[in-house]
Amino acid sequence: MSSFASFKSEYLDISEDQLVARAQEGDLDAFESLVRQHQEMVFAVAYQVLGDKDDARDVCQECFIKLHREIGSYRPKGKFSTWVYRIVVNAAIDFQRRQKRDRFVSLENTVLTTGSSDTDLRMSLDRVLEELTPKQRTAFVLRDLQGFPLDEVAEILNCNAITVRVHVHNARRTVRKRLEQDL
Amino acid sequence: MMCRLTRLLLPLYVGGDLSGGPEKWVAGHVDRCESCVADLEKLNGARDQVKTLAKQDTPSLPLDFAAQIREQIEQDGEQVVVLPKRQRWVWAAAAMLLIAGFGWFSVFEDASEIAEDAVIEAPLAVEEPVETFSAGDLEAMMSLLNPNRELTDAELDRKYPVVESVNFPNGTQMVYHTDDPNTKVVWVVAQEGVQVQ
Repeated sequence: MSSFASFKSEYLDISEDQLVARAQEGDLDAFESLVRQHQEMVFAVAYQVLGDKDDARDVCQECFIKLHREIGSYRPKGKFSTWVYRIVVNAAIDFQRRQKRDRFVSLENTVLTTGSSDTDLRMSLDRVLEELTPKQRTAFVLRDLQGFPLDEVAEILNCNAITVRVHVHNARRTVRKRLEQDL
Repeated sequence: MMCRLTRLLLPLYVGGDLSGGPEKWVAGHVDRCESCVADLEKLNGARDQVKTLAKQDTPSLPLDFAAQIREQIEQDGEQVVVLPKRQRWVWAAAAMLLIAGFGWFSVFEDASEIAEDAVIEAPLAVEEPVETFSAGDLEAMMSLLNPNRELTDAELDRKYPVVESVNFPNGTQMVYHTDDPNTKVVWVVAQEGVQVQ
């Protein structure tokens, strides 16, 4: 296992394209460097889409393992990061579907809290976002919370910009209504 | 009516997701309408509130997360698989054959799992439009309702009060009757299309 210091000098100064090319040749240091570059944003997206830290971490892990497996077939048509986010978003949506099947959660029993602890904040944010469909929530997270441009959100979600605008439009209306009712 | 249209577009306007004519039109209306300004402020407030909640609640991954991923890859013996060019073509051709062979059946078998996108891309139920303006051309619709621009927003609201509003999975369709009994204006918010029947 490499330490951060061992590859820092060599890999921090080279471009992402070069890192990808090296990772495609099986260079694990280069891949690890790519993980470091993207892990926080990928985790933030997974967390905001799923609303659970442990689930988000699992999805992140799944995403990067898949990324390593498939990086050989990646062809740089667009931004590498777009491809990474597409993988994490798909993994998160799949995770939600699996979770829905496996869990028996009664939303009616969820208690709304407005306190100031981390858990309470999380519940409030979840409560605000819970009525959104998975696609609406993902589009909202990418566009409004992460600030991706509309076209990039469309690329990540593999749909056109009009569809993203519909998701975002509906999400913003729902979020506003929810906040007015609950908070 | 002007206010209703504006409010339909405000969720896109607040995020900078309108451009050209519609953006200018909403900006112009908001400049002179206190009630829509209040609505805009509420939407902006809601967005800021959610952003703040998200910022306050951003956990981090463990510092050694990347190293853990690497360790797992090494343990699993995962190798990067690079397909030679010719092999990629073979896989692509095989995939296309499979899709061609099973696609027809999957349409019916997976009917319960139609992607949300598929529903959203479906056109709204507009009956035989006689004329369709360019997408997003709000000015075109306004010129039909207010050809000489002699009416204020408030007068327009009073003059065209009858609105049929129908919600579809891909947006909202609103219908306005004009002075001409044979002409009505159909406003489709999701696609920003203006159609006249």
